Amino acid sequence: MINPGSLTAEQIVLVQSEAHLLKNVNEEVVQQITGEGFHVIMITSNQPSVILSKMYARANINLEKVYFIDTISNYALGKNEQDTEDTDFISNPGDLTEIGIALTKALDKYADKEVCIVLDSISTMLIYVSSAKVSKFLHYLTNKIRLADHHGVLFAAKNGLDPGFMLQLTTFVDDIIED
Amino acid sequence: MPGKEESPHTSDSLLLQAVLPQALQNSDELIIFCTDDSGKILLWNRAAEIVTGYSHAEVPDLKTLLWVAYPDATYREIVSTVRASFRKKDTKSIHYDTLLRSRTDQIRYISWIIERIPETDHNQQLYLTIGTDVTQARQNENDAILLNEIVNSSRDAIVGISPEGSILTWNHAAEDIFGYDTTESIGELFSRHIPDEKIDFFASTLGDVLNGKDFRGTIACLSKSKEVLTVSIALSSISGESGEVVGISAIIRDMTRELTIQQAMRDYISEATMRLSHPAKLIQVNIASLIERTREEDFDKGDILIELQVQQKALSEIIHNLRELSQAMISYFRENEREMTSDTMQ
Repeated sequence: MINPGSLTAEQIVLVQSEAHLLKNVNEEVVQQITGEGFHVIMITSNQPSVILSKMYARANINLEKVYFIDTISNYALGKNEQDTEDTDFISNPGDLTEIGIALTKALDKYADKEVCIVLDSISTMLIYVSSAKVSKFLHYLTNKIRLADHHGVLFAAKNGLDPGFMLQLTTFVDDIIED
Repeated sequence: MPGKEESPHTSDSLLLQAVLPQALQNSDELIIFCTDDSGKILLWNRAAEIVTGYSHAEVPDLKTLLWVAYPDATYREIVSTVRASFRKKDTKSIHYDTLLRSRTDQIRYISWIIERIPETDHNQQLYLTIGTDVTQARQNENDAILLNEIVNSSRDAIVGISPEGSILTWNHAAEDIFGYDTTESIGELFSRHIPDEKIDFFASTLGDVLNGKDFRGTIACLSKSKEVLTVSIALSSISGESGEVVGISAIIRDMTRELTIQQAMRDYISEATMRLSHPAKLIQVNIASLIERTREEDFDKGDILIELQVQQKALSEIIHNLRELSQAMISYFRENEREMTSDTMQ
């Protein structure tokens, strides 16, 4: 259980949870953040946006406040989903450039809004991209969040990261919450 | 002139005793013996007795001496050649070295000078042989050659450093590791191989070593091409004959390759843990959770199917990662193995 307000007390937070709880944590975090009035840009490589949308709807989360950058659906399901008003479909979770472009587009959309970018999850990204590239991407992402004065929440499975990688990560985030 | 009862030999012996100072005849160190044309030994001094272990009575002539004192035929041939050369009267003195076997089977190195003594007013030609026992010097020489061989065949750099920090000796491995040859190194400060930020530490370490505190550790060093090498170094003081510290010995092993391999291994384990082991566990719990959901009455078949496809894709990606990482690691080690083999063959 994440303490209310703890996610946005700092600008960028890393949330670590047991692997089997990642899905629940995702729901809980998005519920809290949208409840605080933030718009959420959800970068997902863990669950397809269609599954997350249904899960959020069941949890009475205002879907109008959620924008998906779905990196997994087209890749894993072999589909060619076209982008919609609230979802960008990335062809491959390893295509970090495409994710970056989609992120810029989403931020433009919420230019005058309070935004929280959520990454679900570092552990899943590591399946598709090398740790060196993930590290570079996280550096880019956290810089982008800080420059735009937004908030960010990064998910990772507990004990799923190498101590050296974790050390790097701690320099990118302001706080680490263990659920 | 010899007296009535005196044989020519007796008169020569008396002559020699008169000519050679008593000190030489009684010398413990300088071997002196004298022979005539027939090979009879006329004089056999104290040192000759001590070194060979035979008395004059036991070696009355050269033939006996050669037989008992020279360990192999080579030296007997040398001595014969020398005498033959004298007979031709084309040489006044000859210098040569032989091994000599004593009565107690000790082998000694002897440096000989044979002088023909033509000054006698006698028809008989005399040969004065003076030998110096150079066994110790020769052993020292051999030891030095052996030590030099050991030092130069070592794969570790072995460097002598003066108390002031300049290089005194520099072996082949030091040339290989640091890139400077011996002539470029002798007299130079060893600290030129130490990065600027470590100079003070190194100077203080040398000071400690000079005060008797040996050092063993891993430090960064610079090669001629300014490449940073990680080396293990053992520093210890070298004492002179009177016990004072006259320098420092440094035994240096280039650990760069070993450490690089270790780092590659650590990187591989780290990457394998993050990209294989943990994601596999993640998929395991996700599939367990999906199985659990299918037991619920109102589960959505379509959603379960989508989520299973995602897990399947992730799983095939992990298998791909495993293949890729293993291949990279195998190639890396093969490459290193090749380099190491080629180094060894050189």
